[in-house]
Amino acid sequence: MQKVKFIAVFIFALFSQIVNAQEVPKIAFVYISPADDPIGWTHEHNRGREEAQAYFGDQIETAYFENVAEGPEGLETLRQIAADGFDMIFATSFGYMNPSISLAFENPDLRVEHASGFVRTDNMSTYNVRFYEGRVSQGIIAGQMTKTNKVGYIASFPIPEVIRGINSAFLAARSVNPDIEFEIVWLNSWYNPPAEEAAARQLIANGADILIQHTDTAEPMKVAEELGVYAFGQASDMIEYGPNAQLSASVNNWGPYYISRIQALLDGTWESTDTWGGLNTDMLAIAPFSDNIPLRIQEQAADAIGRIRSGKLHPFTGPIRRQDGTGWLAAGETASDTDLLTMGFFVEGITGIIPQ
Amino acid sequence: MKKFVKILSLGLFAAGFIAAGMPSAQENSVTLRSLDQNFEASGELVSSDRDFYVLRTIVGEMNVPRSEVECIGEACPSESTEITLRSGDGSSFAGELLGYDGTNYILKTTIGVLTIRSEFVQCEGDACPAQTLVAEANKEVVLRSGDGTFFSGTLQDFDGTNYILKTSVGVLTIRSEFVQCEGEACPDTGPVVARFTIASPPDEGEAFIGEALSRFVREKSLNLTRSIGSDGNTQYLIGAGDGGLLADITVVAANDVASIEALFSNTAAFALTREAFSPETVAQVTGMAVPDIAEFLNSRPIALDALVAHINPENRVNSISINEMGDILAGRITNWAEIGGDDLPITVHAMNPESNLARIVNRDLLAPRGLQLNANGMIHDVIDNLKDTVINDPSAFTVSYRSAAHGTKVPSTRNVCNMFSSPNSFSLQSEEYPLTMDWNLYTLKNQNIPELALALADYLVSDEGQAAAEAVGLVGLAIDRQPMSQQGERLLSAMLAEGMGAQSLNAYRSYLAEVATATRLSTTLRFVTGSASLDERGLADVERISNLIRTGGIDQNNLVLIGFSDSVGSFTANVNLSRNRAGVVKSLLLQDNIGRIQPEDIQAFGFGPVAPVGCNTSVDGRSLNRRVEVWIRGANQQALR
Repeated sequence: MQKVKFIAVFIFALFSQIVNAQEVPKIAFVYISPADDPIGWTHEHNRGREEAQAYFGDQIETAYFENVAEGPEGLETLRQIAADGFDMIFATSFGYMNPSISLAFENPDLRVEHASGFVRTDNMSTYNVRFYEGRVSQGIIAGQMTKTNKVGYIASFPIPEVIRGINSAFLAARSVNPDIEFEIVWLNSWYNPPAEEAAARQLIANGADILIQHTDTAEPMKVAEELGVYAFGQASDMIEYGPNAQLSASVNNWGPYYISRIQALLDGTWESTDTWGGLNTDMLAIAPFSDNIPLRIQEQAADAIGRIRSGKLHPFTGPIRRQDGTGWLAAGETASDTDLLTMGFFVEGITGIIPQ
Repeated sequence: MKKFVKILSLGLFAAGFIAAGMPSAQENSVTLRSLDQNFEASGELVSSDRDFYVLRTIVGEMNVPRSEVECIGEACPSESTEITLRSGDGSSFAGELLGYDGTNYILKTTIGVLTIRSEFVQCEGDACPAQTLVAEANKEVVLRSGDGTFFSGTLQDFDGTNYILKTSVGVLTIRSEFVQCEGEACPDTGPVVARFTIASPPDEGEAFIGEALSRFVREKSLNLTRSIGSDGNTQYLIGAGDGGLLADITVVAANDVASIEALFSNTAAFALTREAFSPETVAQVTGMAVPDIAEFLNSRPIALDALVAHINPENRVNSISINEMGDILAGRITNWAEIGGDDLPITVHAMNPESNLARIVNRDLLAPRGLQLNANGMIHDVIDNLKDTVINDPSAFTVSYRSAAHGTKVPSTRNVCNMFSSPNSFSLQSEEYPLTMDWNLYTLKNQNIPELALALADYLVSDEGQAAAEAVGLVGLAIDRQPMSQQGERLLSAMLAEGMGAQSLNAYRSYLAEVATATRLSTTLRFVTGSASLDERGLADVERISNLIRTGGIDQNNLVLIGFSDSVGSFTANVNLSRNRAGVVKSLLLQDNIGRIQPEDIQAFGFGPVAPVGCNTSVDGRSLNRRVEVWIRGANQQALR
């Protein structure tokens, strides 16, 4: 029945690609790096694709295209994919924004989904994850597990996305440990193994005994394992790289989103949307807590996760002052999405500078 | 503008033709007419942004500045709704604003309608929704001076020194130090941010700066943020507790020559170098005759390092002379047995010829003797690999920096006169190790350097800053002490080195008698050739000794200054000369420390050419020998005779 309906929709929509009623929708996933990366950004998108494929079985056909260049160079690849008769494309990196826009206009019947972007058209959606929600449990754990009161934070670019994560982790850590200090290193890159390794070593040398990272490799986790300190996995569960070091991890979990969007395509209810999902939609998952964390702290962290998921706790709830001492959120006030998306300052208590 | 002139002339020739000949049925057809009516072109409007129309005419596409023409036709973009949305990542979208719902802009662009999240972009244009416009601050300010005078008007600019104020009577330029600014538009006159670049040797150099900055901010209760650029350069941001930025320092890895070039091209305020620069090198970089570096550059000696031989920890060889180093590198000595080791072929490792290390090794060990690196040597690109290979290979030999020796064995060396010297920190400080390298910090003369940068430079040479140098494997310049009992190596050398007549032997005994119970300071003062003036390092060292006196480091003891000369000239004349040099240092110290130390607390001696530390057969050796050693001895202790 489902299938009949979906075919009917497609015929009705006069999809030129559908020449034969036996064909199922073809869905392309476009990756910035290899699909078989063992962890990280692309790995998680591909895991989401596999989940969706398994969920829908032979109702859909998925394919992926790896190492696709961002920017104008990528446009030709995207055009080729569209020409090959795909019905929906998930463009999984920010740098695909402009080519995706062109692609969407050139192919009005194609559904384009652009990860982490901010521009939509009638047939192009955007989607992203509220990564900062995962920082709360990290802060609660780090604040109590540290013996040096110093957390080393490996940051990528000084943009709201990253600043938000630092603030979220710091507020949570300080709520359980007023003496907590963050040392932040900016690498101005999402993926730079040697720089991430060097930064991790330097932070530990400077006294940090817990690492939090907002970059895409397992190098900081490996260093933490080697030097006997703790760390949190980023994007993926990194337990294999830090069986003793990993306390937990924020895991990008795109599967639920991909399933819901493909379902909408099949149902004929797909429309251009802007999704920013977090713990509540399971687009953000938290890896199991390490046994090294005392149960009381595990419960505290799990409680925070549960309350964020149910909407009872907002990671940015006043009173919060900015680093320069000026007021930001009054008691009980929570940050709006606009506040979050434009966050360009540290909260009070963080020492350090946001590079311009 | 230049472009437009061209278009305009084209337009003047072709205006009539284009206007007449263009089909008017074209969907996007418009006419662009200059305000003075001299230019007119019709065609298809391909696109437009804030500054240009792109018009396709039958003679081709042209960009026409919007400010110069008016657009006539239905396809003309509506002036009032035209906006540009710019995002931080560099993308921008121009088009007609169809709507704004508080969260999203609906923008009609030439390719289609876009829905754009407002948080990611800045809106530019008259049609921007009021609340999203970068708030046009109220520019009205009052500048009030202490004497009661005040000026009110619109603040046009503030350059850090002057306010440019448009008043009802005209535009005024007002020195900021004399007035208080009142009003929303007043610039933040908080601490001025010191922005500068330091060119530095990679590895130890970068580590030294990082370590020194960490200590510097800790001492001043500031904080330090590191940001690694995509080019690999490290940016250090010094901040106050409230997040205010005080300094923005970029460290660029460069070899010594590139560092000095960066200084002269004004791309760096400081050049940290592994060696003091010769006038020839500076002349090469500047293309000018440089009789004296001090005419162009301020230099500060900042730390010490040395070229040393690195061998495997299992290797039984304990001493390799400087000539032997060259011979091994050149392949003239190929087996460890030839220099007292096991019967094992030597494997030579070296850095690639482009590197700073290869340049120095060639200059100091190979070129002077007409040698070349053995073609069988293994060439490395990363200095750490040199070290790693030597640690793992019993047959390996390399010459590298002392600071790069982590886990390798560093044998002592001998100069051509067979003087022994181990590259320990004391012999580097007293310059008795022959391949010592003086790290220097250079700035251009007469350059405006931010105050914080100067404070940092002062900090680097302070004892605390020198501790940072030590922490990264360099040798600091802070005064070190060594009792007579540990001076064996050089006493041995002095005896073995040159034949001694009766005169010399007597002088030598007197010298030993004076210092027998004393402790030597690593500070050894050297003189500009043929004069009784101290060199740059010497002057800094006098300051260090004065500091020691001020801080009670001499306490109840006497300072014993012992002058030496080279062996050129008669023995008696040399004894007098060396005594004069010791006397010069004594008077400098007394002048510097009036009331803190009495003339009788400082004793000056001169022993001529005895106890040489360098070969008197070479220019460099002779200059090493023209020196004043500084010893500390108990006040009541007499010389042992």
